[in-house]
Amino acid sequence: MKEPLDPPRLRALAAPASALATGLSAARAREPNDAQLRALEAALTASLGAALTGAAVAAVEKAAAATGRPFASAAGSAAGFKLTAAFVALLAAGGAAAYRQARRAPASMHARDVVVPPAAQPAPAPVASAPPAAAPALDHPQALDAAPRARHRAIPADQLALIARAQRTLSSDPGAALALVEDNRRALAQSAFAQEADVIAVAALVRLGRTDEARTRADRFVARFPDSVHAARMRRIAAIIK
Amino acid sequence: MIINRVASPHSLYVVPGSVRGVAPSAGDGDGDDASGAAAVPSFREVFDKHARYVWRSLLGLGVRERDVADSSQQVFLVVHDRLGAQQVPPGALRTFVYGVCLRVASDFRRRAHRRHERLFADPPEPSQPPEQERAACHREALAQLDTVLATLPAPQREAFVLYEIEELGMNEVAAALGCPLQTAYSRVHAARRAVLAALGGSLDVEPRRRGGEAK
Repeated sequence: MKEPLDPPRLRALAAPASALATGLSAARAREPNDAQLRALEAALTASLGAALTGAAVAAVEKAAAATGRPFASAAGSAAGFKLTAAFVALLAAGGAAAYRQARRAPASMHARDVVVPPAAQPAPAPVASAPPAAAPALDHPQALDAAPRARHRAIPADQLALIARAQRTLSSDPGAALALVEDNRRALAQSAFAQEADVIAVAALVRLGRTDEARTRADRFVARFPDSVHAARMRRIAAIIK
Repeated sequence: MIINRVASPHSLYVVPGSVRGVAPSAGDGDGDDASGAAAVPSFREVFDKHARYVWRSLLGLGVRERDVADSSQQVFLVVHDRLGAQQVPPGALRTFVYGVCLRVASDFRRRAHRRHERLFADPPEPSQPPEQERAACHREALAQLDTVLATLPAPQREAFVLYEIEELGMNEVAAALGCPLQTAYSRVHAARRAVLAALGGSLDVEPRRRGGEAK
């Protein structure tokens, strides 16, 4: 801007009231207002799925501290339920975010799609409901998944539908969701949704109380896709289950 | 298959400056990287600092009003990825963000073209109350400008928007476009001629094309 070799800007050269000067000034003033900025930030937070991740992990840690032991075979106890619910919430958030990412489209800004979490709330968070927002998501780029999201541009509709159905079923019938991805394991493993299928499987296993299997699969996932957008989340889950 | 950075669609968002060897930090004059090369700014800082011009430049680059929020989000998702992967060259954050804007807007225009949609703003409403006359005048001038910009070849439009609306230094324009400095000059110059011809303006001073040689 202050480079000596930069020619003067048109805006400064044009006659003050000319269409050119007015248009350039108007184009320069075309910034978002505060409401638009806030909406953008909220949508970004939702896309990055970080608010829920942060809240769920905090809840898990709190619950673990309260029971004085790490989560092991506590399924059935109140703490176990809380933990399970938190895990599932964690995974569901990742799944939803991945689903959007897989379509290579950000979360829509339109009101019908944006779920802006109303306020922080303690776990357990039901899977299908709006996630609690507590973590200042945008402050932690490193905590989120940093790997570039490699996806095919054209995604077979049946695979997309399959993953979407499994994600929908996850909350009401994790067994069915698990069966869906397991039955189509071979096809999905070759698809752009291999990771999402694994994430859904881990979520379903956690919800079903099969934590050993969930941990094994989460570990395997991390070993296989260390750079995945889901890897950090899976690492966290594996660590918490241990 | 899934994780393959080379094949990632995001690898399209290469930082041009780092590829072409153009020193992109020369004109990063707003001090956004003053905290030092070692410190990676938090994503919130990046958002707060860059969101306004991301929005504005996308509009200049042909993204429609009703899509600018989604496109801005797309820009920041890429920026987030790249920051997390430490792929943003130190001292070149602003240029990098503009580079991503160019790419996202280009994708948008291509998609819009495929849909046979109009690329420029709707004409202003026919009648306005007197107090809105000035606003209407602004809108009309803006619509005219957008219309002209939509007729320019993409490289010229991008150079024009970055230089004349975003008011980057010519060095930064070249870095964001990933082209040599002289090319950036000639693109701005060609775009200016088209804009002046369309908007009927005349200037006393022609842009100094030879300015780059003084370097």
